[in-house]
Amino acid sequence: MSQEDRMESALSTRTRTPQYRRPLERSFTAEERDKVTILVGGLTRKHEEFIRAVFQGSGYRCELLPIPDQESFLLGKEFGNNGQCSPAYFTSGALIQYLRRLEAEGMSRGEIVDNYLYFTAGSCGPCRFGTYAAEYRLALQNAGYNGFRVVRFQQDEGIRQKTTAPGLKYTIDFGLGMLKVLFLGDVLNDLAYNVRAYEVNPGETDRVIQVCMQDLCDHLRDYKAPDLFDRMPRWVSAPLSKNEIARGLLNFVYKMRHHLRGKEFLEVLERCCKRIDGIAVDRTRLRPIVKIIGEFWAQTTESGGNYWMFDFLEKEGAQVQPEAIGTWIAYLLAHARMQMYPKRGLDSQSREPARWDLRQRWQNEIAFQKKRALLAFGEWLYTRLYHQVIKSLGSTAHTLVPQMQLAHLADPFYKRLARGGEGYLEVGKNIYYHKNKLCHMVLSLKPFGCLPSSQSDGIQSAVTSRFKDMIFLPIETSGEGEVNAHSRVQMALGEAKAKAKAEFQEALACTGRNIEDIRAFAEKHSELCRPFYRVPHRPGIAGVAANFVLHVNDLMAGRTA
Amino acid sequence: MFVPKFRAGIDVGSTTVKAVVIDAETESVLWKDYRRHETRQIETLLDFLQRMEAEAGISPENCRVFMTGVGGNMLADPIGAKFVQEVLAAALMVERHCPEAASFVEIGGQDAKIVILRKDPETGRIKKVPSMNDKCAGGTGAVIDKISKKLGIPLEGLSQLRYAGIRIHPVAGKCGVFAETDINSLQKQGIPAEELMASLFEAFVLQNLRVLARGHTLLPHVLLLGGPNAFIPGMREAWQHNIRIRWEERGVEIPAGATVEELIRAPQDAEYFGALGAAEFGKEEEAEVGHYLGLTQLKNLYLGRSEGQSRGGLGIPALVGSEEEVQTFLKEYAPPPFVPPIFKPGDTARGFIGVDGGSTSTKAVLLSLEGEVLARAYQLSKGNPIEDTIEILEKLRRQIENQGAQIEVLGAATTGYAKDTLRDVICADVALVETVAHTKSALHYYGAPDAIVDVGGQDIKLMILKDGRVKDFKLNTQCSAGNGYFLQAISEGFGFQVEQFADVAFTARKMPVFPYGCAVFLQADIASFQGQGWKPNEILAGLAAVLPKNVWLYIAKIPNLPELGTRFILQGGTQNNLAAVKAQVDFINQRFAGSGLKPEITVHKHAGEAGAIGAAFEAMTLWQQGRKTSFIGLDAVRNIQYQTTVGEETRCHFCKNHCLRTFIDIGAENGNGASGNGRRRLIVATCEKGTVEDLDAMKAIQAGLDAAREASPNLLEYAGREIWKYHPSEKTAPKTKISRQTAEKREKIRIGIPRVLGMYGYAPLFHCYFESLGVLSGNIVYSDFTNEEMFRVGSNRGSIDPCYPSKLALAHIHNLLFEKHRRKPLDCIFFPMFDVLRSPLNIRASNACPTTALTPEVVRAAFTKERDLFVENGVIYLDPLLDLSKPDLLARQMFAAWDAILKLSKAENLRAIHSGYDALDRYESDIQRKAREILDRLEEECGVGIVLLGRPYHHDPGVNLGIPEELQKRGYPIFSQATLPMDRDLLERLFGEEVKEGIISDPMDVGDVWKHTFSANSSNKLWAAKFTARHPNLIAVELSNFKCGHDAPIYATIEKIIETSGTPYFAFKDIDENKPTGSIKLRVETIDYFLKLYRKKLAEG
Repeated sequence: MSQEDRMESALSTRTRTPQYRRPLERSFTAEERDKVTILVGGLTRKHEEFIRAVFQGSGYRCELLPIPDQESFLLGKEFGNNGQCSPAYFTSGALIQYLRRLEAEGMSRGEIVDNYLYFTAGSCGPCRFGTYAAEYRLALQNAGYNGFRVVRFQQDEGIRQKTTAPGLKYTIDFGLGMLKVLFLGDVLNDLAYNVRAYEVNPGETDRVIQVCMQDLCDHLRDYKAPDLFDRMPRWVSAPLSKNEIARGLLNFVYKMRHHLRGKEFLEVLERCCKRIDGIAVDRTRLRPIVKIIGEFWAQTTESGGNYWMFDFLEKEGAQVQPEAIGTWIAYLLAHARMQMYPKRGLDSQSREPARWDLRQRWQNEIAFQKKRALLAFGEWLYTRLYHQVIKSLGSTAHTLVPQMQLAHLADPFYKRLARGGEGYLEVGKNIYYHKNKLCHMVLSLKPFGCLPSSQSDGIQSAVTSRFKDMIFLPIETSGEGEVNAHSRVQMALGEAKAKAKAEFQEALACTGRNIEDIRAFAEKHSELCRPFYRVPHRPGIAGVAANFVLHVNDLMAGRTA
Repeated sequence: MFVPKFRAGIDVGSTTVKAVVIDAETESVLWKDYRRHETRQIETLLDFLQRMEAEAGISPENCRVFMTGVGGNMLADPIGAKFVQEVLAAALMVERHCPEAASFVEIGGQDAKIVILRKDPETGRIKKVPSMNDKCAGGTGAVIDKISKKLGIPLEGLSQLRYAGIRIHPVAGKCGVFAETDINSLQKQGIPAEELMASLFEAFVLQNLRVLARGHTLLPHVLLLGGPNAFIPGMREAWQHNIRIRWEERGVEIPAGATVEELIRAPQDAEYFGALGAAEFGKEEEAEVGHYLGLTQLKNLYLGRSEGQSRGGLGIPALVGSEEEVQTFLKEYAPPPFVPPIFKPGDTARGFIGVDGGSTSTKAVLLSLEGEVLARAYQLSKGNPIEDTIEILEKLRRQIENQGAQIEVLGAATTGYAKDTLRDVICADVALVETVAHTKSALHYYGAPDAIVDVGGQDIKLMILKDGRVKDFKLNTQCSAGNGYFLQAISEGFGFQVEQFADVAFTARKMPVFPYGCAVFLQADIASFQGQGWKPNEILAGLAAVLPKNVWLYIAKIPNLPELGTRFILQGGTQNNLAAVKAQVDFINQRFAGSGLKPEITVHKHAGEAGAIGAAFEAMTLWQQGRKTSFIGLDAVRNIQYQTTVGEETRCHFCKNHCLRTFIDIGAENGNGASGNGRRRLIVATCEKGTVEDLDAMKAIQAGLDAAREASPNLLEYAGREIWKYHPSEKTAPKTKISRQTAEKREKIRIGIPRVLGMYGYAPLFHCYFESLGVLSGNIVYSDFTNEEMFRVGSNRGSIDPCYPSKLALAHIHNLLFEKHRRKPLDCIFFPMFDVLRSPLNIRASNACPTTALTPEVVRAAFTKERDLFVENGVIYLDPLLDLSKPDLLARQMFAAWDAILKLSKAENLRAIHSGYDALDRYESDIQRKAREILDRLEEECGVGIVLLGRPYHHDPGVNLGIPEELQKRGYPIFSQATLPMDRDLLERLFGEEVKEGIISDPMDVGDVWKHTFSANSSNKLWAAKFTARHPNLIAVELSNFKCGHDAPIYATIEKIIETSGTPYFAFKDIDENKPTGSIKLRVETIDYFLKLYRKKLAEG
């Protein structure tokens, strides 16, 4: 009997002094699947639309929350606890906004509570993100939607998680669909920002990407991978079916291959690739590259939650390099593996076996090696699949940075095993992108008062002292003070522009040509004006225009890169 | 044809506009001006441009314009200007014209910036490392303006203010609201305005050096830019003084022959650097960039013919939609004008005087025996509460005596911030805490309301009643302080007296939506709304609309108003502003929509004087009980002579704090005192001991305090003191043989440990670990206990602004490195990162807070940023990541950290860890044993004890702000969440039934109230709340620090746990580095008042 059930039965018979009990959580049952709409939000719009397609493809009703804006923030703040970080306010506010809209359309609160639920990620780490579900419930209750369901997907339990909502059934197709969502959302976002900064016809990138989105959503919604055992002759499948683990594993591998390397998926990617490559770009435009890092939500969202920062940066003439959710997933896997080493040899309760207890020691070592191998394989597989999607989409999107490299770079400043928030990622990424000259400026976005991320900033002050030419700006996204935040970004961006300009002028000077010659050559060679034309990145040069000038110079001189 | 003969640079800041016109050929400045725009940015810009056209000859045919500043971004487009970010503009100017500068500091109206200029040896490029305050702004021009206005310093007087040689008092600098709170309290103690302003400069400079400098040292030359730096000599002196100290501390070499004044200076035209820099920027731009378009579009914007940029067109309907609506509202809600009773010559007005010495105003009433107001007076505070009281009682007197009647005072009472001083000065019968005074007043006139909303200048008080008895009260934290005064200050900033506020706001038909909460954030939003084209009347309306949200959503956290009842009383001086009332009425009505109920909202007919009336009622009660008044009489009040002294001669030397006191000598020096009893001295001090001068008198006070402490022990103080005293027990001492050399090394090694954060929970573990290994107990050196001076001196290397307990760590490491180490060298500083804590609870994870866990790494960064100060001092800094919940893992982690230094064997290391845990267990058992004794006594005596629901670091006397002591003094034993007894019989009594019923699995289960049990200390706080809610002799006071991210998610749950059971719940939230004595006192006294009632109820069974 679960605590939920025990509480329910006990409370019905209690008569003593009243004591507070947390509201009982209503479950989502399999019978409700056809009538309950799952609400999704909290990621980039592309990820969310893909998620909706996967849910719909698996037979669920699914809708997206509105993009959080100032009104969402104020609503979330109104109904939530004081002093929460802004992602909680924005998300609960967007949820309330959506529900109020339903109510305005004539639906009663009872119907809303019965027919909708919110699906979100959960965690059990030291950061308060793990308590967000309670915050959403509190805000919903205060707003009058008592009993509204918030269903958590434990990020550290992955797709194998045991959910409290049996209405959500995690099939292999569903899980692999979600995996594709993560890859596609990241890569398409990256491409959009890479291309839009140089598009010749304003708005063309967004139009093309929208068409690609539709195509990909259709695929995610409609595609069903065949079942291995349906395709096998009975004499082969029958004996294999007796072993549940072997059956599940084989089927998973088979389906994964079809989902991620199957004809249907590759075809849709190819169509997208062609469309995107049709956008005309002018790489001679001087754009400082701004790498985005920070706290998971603040660095990812394209909303009022970070002062519409990406739009703002683009309007200010920057090329935004967004952060991939994939980096976070790779971090979770790598960090789980790193955390194992200090406990190597201890049992599951972290007890040290006696020196003479060789049997226990052996068992502990085997358990360690099994888990390590599984996690290492998971990391390898995830990265490989991610990079395959990049390859299929033109090979120009940014690849995942090896986690060990990031952890190693952060080591002198930030203990890699320290937990909470982005862990060593913020420090590691800042150093990585600066050292490898992959951007002109690093902008770190984090919610006001974010516990781990604020502390990272404290450490970054030592990092910036160590790397003299680094341009690093942390911005706390509180939901208020947009003008101030934009002003601070402009301030740092001015520096980054100067850096990019100096780099560009140096590059141009070393070619001995003028920019008109370069442009004229590029116009004559139309492939140079295509997004998927690969301009080699020269060590020590971050800017696209500077690299392009040097490359065209080589081409003009008849040299190949 | 366009011939760019001129370049104009315009800096539209949040409080001023600066503009220059430059001859493009000669680069000479042809025209310049600087003016405060009094929040009329567009109008001022328009005026400037018209003058620039007329006086300098600029026109669309011959001029390019470059704009900067917070308003520049919004106003550039209408005139065709190119926007240049302000720091870029200033930096460009500095780079070109002051190449010797290595850094500059610019203080603007809303923000402060520090820019470090470093030449990159490789590229030769001047790298600018800019830092700008985030939304929590302390050191800015607007705050200086607001506070100087409050202190009655005229604008032109700012240029006379000094810092050098002036006495400095502690003022919080991190936030304008905190600073204002401190200044208020110091002002009431009679500290002169020039000392307060100098203290403000000190606070701002220190805050900027602590946080904004992000740990960088500002190397010579340092330029001081911006209006405040340019115009206020005291501001410049504060920078010079504090930067010089850092140079000395950090060994910065000063160029030979140069003086500090030359090296840290405001350059000529410092206030124009933004405008000049913008124009300088234009020099490099293409000829067409910034082509001046003339005034047409700007005029349209000003006249409202076009909306401002971005969201200027958005907004919501304003407070009223039409003039008719205004009239209807006024008819219903405007309180009737006060018609005092008429006296005939020779009549005697007998009654009771109530004086309310508030934070921003003083009020007084004369109340008849029937409770009718015979006379009333209200005046804004001039700074000195005694002077204010003398004047206001005179006003009261004139109202009666001008009719030929006379007054007979039967009793007098005081209330408000200055109530104690005023009681002593006029010998009033009682000083009544203001929450109670306000409640009494509302109850008298309006029977049994359900809620009383009192909004004063500084505080918001909300009293929730049931059947005419106060059930609960809510007070604002300092974070939303200044609401009433805030409205007044903004109104005056727009050029309207506060009395005109409503008239102006009611002319708006649309208004911008301000987020509610902190006044500092609102201030920042005003600037951006103005830039979007919102007019002053619309902004005032928008600000009035924030007030009810602050009351109900921010402070009370009650979005569902109908659950309180239907009768609401609005009172307090701010309710004289009918725009605020309209907003409140609208808000309450809106919250009742759809509930089927109709609220009944009444504005108190003496809204501003409600507190004074309540005090007068208290005096009446005493008189009715037969008490003869001790009031000195109105004649004596008129003739009060007093002298206020604050100086070295008033410093208290009864303890090591050496606090500055205020002496108020009443009566003439010849002994013919106003009261007729000779000259007497009142002493305003920070603690009781300081209220006397004589040692014997102090000893008597101390004895009284000691007796009270003995009767009502404070376990926070006890635990915070005892935790450092544990040693290994004999049975756990390691017995490993080690070489003599190693033994000697261990005996000699000296280890410094900061007395901060988690050490308040785990010190015995580490102390005994080291001692067990042979480190001498005396060589385990703790930093000093937290004190203000330590924080002031030691926290300058910070680069972020986390919670106060985390920031304190810098000061403790500084203390170890620069005091303990210098006195006798340390070999290591050990400041472990606590990753996982141990917990007695049945929870899913026992993580530590990431802020505290990562603090040691932040400290390392701060002390190694420019130079590795640990290496330079020969000290090893060790901050291993530790899991305290798993002894074997901890042993490994400690071994990895210490083996190289202590030459450990794994076996002895493990035994030392066990020895440490044994000590920790003994410490916890000792505390719990003592707690049990106290609790048993409470049960026997039917007393009330207070559980302070905080975190282990609240045992740190420097973090808990002395709140436990203040409560203890009033006769309540104090427990903390970490010091509650856990004896089986007690737990069985409190939780046994719920375990049997299956609601919880065991007494240490908190799953019934909170599902996400991942944070050890949060779970513990929840458990302690459950314990308190179930124990009839305990009540809860929650302590929480500003920015405590682990507390925020459980605020509502803690409150519900306590309140559902009917147990009183109070809270001190947003605790930070400043100690707002006045507001702490108000809360403590209010708590005491309610607990007395609760104790009575308890005793009655």
